[in-house]
Amino acid sequence: MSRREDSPPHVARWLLERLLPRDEREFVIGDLEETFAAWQAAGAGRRFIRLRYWRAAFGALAAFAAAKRATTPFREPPQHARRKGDGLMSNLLRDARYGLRLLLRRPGFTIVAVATLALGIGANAAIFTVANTLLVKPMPYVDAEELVILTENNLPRGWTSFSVSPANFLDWRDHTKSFARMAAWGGRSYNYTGGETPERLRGLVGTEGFLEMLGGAPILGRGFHPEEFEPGKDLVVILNHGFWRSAFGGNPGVLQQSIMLNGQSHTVVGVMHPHWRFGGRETALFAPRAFSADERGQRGGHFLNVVARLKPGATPEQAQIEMSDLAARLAEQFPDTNKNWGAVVTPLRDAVVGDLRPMLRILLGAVGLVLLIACANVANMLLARATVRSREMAIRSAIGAGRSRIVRQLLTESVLLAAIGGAIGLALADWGTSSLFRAYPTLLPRASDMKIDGTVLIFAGGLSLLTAVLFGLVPAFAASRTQLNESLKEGGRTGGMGVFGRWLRSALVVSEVAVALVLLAGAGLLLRSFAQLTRVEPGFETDRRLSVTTVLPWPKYSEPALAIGFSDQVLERIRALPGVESAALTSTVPISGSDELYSIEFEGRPPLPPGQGVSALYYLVSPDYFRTIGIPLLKGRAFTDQDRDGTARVAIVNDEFVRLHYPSEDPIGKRIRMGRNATIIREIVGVVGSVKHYTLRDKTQAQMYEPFRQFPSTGMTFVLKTSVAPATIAAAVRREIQAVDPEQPIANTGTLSEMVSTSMMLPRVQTMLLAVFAGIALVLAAVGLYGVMAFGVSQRTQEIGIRMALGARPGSVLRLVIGEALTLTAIGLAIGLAGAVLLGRALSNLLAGLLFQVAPSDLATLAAVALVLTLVTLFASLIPAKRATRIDPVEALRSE
Amino acid sequence: MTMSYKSHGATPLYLGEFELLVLLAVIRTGIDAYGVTIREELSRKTSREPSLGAVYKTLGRLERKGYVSVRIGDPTPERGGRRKKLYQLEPLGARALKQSFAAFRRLTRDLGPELETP
Repeated sequence: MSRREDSPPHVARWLLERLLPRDEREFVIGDLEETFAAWQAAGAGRRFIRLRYWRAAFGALAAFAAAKRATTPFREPPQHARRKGDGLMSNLLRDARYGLRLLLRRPGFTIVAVATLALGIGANAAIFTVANTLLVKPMPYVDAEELVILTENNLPRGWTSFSVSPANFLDWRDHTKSFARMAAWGGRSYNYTGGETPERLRGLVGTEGFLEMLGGAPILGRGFHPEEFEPGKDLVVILNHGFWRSAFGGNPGVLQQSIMLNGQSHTVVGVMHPHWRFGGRETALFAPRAFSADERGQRGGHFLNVVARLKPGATPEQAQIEMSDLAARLAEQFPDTNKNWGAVVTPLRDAVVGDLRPMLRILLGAVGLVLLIACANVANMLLARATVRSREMAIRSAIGAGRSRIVRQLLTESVLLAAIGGAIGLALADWGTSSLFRAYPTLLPRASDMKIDGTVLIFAGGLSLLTAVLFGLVPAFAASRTQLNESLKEGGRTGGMGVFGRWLRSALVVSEVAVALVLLAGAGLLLRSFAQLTRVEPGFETDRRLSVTTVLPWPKYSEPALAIGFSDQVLERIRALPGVESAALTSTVPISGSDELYSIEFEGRPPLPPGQGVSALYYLVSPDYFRTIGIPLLKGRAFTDQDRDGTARVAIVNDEFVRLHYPSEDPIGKRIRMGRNATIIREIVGVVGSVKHYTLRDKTQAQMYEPFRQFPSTGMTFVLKTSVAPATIAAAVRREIQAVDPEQPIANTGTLSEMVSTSMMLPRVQTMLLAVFAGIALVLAAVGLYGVMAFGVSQRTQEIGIRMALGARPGSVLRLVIGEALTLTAIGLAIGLAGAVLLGRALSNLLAGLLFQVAPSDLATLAAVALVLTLVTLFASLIPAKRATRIDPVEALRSE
Repeated sequence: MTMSYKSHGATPLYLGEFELLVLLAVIRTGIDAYGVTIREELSRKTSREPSLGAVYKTLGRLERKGYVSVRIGDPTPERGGRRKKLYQLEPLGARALKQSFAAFRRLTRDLGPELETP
């Protein structure tokens, strides 16, 4: 056995020499050396030995550090303990112990300082947790960086990311070289009728290789066979673990059983691994996505999502070039359907994070600023204290403590403060993030991954340390500058830091005010923007409106007459419910997230060249829909019960449609082709008001309505106008639906005002968070100013006493103090305003995406926040100013 | 039972479980009892692998209680020429051991052959 002669790790030995108590050093290192030699003789591996040595070294260090702690209170420290060079460790411990005693002796100071730091570090840890999960932490898939999302786009129409048509997907899959694998997926809803009550389940259907590509492996049973991706053979499902547990009690006997989904028998072939997830929503089951012969040739209908895995070494950029080439060729080959359609390659993480990036950046910046203010505040408090402690420092240096020794001790105290603040801050961050996600579970993707983990701990630890240095270094050096003679002579009253200290404290307050103003300006802008957003009219009434969605299963309701019969019966029953004023139905509700979009052809106009088509949002509605949801009829007539199968095909468009396509003509009587069956021509009989379809921020779009009875669809949402609180009716509506068909589950119920409010969740939370951070900044700045003024007054007691003895009135003393505070505030405001304007200009791109109808340098907002800040600082300086006026000249002079 | 200490006429001397083991190891190792050999004896005779740090901590405690005393041994080459810190049992330590064993015996009496202390 060949054995390399080796010596113990140098660093470890160096540490031992440095940190072990002098009288133990030789014996302990000797023991470790001997053990090391014994391990070597036994032929253990080099890495193993070195690791063991490190472990033993740390163990020994810990043992003696603990022993030191245990002995000190009981007996005199040995003589050598005071000698220079005696272990760094014991000095550190002594300083820490001393610092802790000091902190406990001044609980007021300690609580304010720790709370300030906890807020600063906590805010940072919370936002870092979110940002780290979204931007850094690997996605929960094997080699996730190879995964990309593929979409289509149509830039002339302004669609930057669009679903993919089946024929295009098949061409992409078969004619590209950048990808190791490509698969399409989509959501599919199932009516499950095997349980106690019919249930609406969300399923995920994927083409061959979809689950395998993303590491979705069954824990029980098998994955899908290739032949199960052919139409007719695709009636197999894999159950998600949660659904398997809830619906089948985790019974493994479910394999090969049949379950009824959408009225068809499906065979269970597997149960998915419990940890595997895809997308943010809960999925009950997985099924193969088979393409019918019809679908295989379809290029115009876009409804697939596509994910692909890059070949090893291929980059998203290379893949993009190849895909763009292919899309261009397809556009040439199939101009009718593919003109102007391109292909987009997006790394999976970017697709998930989406447009959250700007907000994350703003929030990260905001919490950074909060921490800066917190640091300035604590530095200020320490400076004030250093002045008070200058006598202690003078005595220390008089009995031989060097400058570095004093700085080290003061820094130890800062680190102690920061460590306590950091620990509490982490707890705050944990509480803050978890309660935020409890309140808004769907706010962010991957919210369940956002926990305080090792990375966050390291971040918070590092941040605390950095913070300690930031707020501790300046006061420590300032304190160590103390002039020995001066301090001892002055009797420890003003200390030797005089002008320098006062200047430093003022500078810190000025910068706090400036930074707080920048934050307040940001929060103010978001608040105004949010207020604008809430003022936007959605175009329909949300008050006392309930929506209930259900989807009829396909083979059972494949006859249009059956769907019409079902909807007629349900409408009749729910109209009769007490508390219901009117009821109607629609294929799609605005703001619900789903949409239908079709191209339009105008009769009597030359067909538009391929790729230049226009389109409109599309709705199938019952006659009462406009009245029930509160969309005004502007011209012509609404639908009636006479608009049914067999009568003339009619359509209603919105005013935006008219503005775009009939700017100078009367739209009534014009005929168009559009919608689910584009071969049929419809006559426009009415014009209604526009509604916001996606979010309140959107521009108004062209919209078209058709009578439900002329094109019944299986997906339908009942909309009710109620005279009582709408949520109280939901259960009754469900009962009526199941009275018509006991097997029919409800997909969704909600009030329209809830839906609008949900659509504003992200802007609301963003605004709220920034407002909270700005509020913290405001309070901290006020506390900082208060501290400086109060300290200034207490230091100048004699001066003020003399002034009053010489005849100064309380009013002039008040003016003196407040005037000083206002001067500091004014300087801070000027710097802050300049900073806010400059920052607004630098971040204008970032802000444009976040602000709604508010300019980044909105003067009213800036003026308002400046005013608020001035008032708050005025208030903060009022207390010390009042105190100054109450100084008794006799007392003040006697204390000399 | 608390009275029985008094009836044995001794001041109660406390000995933790690991302290007991280390003290025994010191006795067994005899004249060459220092960190490495004590740790080896412990790992040979008990089912655990204590770290050197744990052994030091306990030896320090025993020393402070006056159960063991320390003398400085000779340097050896495998220790890089460093000296050893050798430990030996003190009368107070021996008394603590005896008290511990007496307590064991009293507590295990009549608990059956498997638990009975010899």
